[in-house]
Amino acid sequence: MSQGSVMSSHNLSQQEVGQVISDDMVATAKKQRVQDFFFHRVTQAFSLLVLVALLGIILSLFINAWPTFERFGFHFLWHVEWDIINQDFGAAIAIVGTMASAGIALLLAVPLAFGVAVFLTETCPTWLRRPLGTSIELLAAVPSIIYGMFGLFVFAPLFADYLQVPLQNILGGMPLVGFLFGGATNGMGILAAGIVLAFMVLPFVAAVMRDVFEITPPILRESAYGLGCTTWEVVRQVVLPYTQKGVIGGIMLGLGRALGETMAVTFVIGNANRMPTSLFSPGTSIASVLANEFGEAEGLHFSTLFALGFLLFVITLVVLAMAKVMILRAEKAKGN
Amino acid sequence: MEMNKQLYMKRRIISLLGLAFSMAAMAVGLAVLLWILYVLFANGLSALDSNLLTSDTPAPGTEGGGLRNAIVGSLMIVGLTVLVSTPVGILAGIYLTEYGD
Repeated sequence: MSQGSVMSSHNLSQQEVGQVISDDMVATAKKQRVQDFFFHRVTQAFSLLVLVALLGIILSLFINAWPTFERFGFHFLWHVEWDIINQDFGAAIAIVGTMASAGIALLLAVPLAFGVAVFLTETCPTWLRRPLGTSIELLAAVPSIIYGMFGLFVFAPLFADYLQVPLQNILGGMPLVGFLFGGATNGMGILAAGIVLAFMVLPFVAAVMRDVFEITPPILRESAYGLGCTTWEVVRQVVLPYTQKGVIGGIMLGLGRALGETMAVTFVIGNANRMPTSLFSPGTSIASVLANEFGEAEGLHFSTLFALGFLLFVITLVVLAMAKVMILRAEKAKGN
Repeated sequence: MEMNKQLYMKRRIISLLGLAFSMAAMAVGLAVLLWILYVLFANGLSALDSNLLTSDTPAPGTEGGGLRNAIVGSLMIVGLTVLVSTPVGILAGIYLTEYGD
C-alpha cells in the first residue's frame, strides 16, 4: 500500500515535472529558434559582406576608370602609347609586359615544379621528404619585396654578365630568333622579371603538384609497376593523367600569382613605358605601372591607372575561368 | 617471347633521364632558396643591433637609428587585420558550410 501511494505520488510528481519540462522545453525551443534565426541572418550578413566588398571593389575600379574607357574605347586595349604630357594612353605595353613576364615565369616554373614534385613523391628517401618539402615551402614564405631586392641587387648584375652577354653572342645573330636577344644587357628586363617570378611561383605549383601526386591510389601505381613500367612511365602515364585536374589547378594558381605580382616585378622589369622589342628590353607590367605612378597621377592619368587595374582584374578572372573550362573539358574527355 | 633488350634499355634510360631532371629541379629550387637566405644574412647581420628595435628611422644622411617605427607599424597593421578579418571569415565560413549550398 505504501508502495502504491509512493508510486502514485511519484507518477503525479512526474506528470507535474513533465508539465514543467514541456513548458520549459517549448520556451527553450522558441528561444533557440529565435537565436538560430538571428545566427543564420548574422552569418548570412557576413558572407554577403564579403561579396559586397568584392563587388564594391569592381564597381569602384570601373567608376574611376570610366573617363579613360569613355575617351579611348576598346582602342585602349591595343593602343601602344603612354604619354602623360599629351594625355594619350594605351594599355598594350603594360598588357604585353604582364603576359610576357608571367608566361616566361610559367614556362620555367612548371617543369621545375613538376621535377620537384616527382622527386619529392617518387625518388626522395622518406626521411628527407619532410625537410626538403618544407624548404621548398619556405621559398613561398619569402616576401615578394625580398625577391625584388634580391633580383635587382644580386641577380640582375650576374644575369647580365653570365647569361645575357653569352646568350646575345650565341643566339643574337641567328635568323628569326635573334631579335629576341637584342638590346642592352644591363640585367633588367622582361626575361629577368620572368626568371625572378618563376622562383616565386615555383613553390606554389610544386606544393599543389606534390599534394595531388600523393593522393594517387597506391593500387594504380603498383599495378603499373607490376606490369613492368619504369618510374618515369608510372609518373607520366599513370600519376599525371590521374591528377590532371589538380595539376592544372596548381598551374593556374601560379599564373594568377604571377600576373598580379607587383613588387618583385617592379624591381627588375626596368619600368620603361615602351613596347618591349626583345626579351632583354626593359618593359613594364600592369602592376608595376600602378605601383610606380599612383603617387603623382591626376585627372585622366589617374583614371587610366584605374582602367589598367580593372583590366588586370579581368585578365585574372579570364585566366581562372579558362582553368575551369579546361578542367571541365578534361573531365569530359575522361568520361567518354 | 624474347625480350627486346634495346627497347628495355631505351625505357630505362628515359626513366633515368627523367629522374635526373627531377633531381636537378629540386637542386635548383634549393640552391635559389639557400642563395636568397645567404644574401639576406650576409648583408643583413651586420645591421642587427639593439638600436634596430629601440630607435626610429633617422633622417637621410644621419648615422645610427633603427626600424622601431616600421616594426611597430607592421605589428599594428597585422593586429588590425586579424581583428577585422577573423570574425568576418569565421562567420562567413559558418554560413557557407551550414546554410549555403
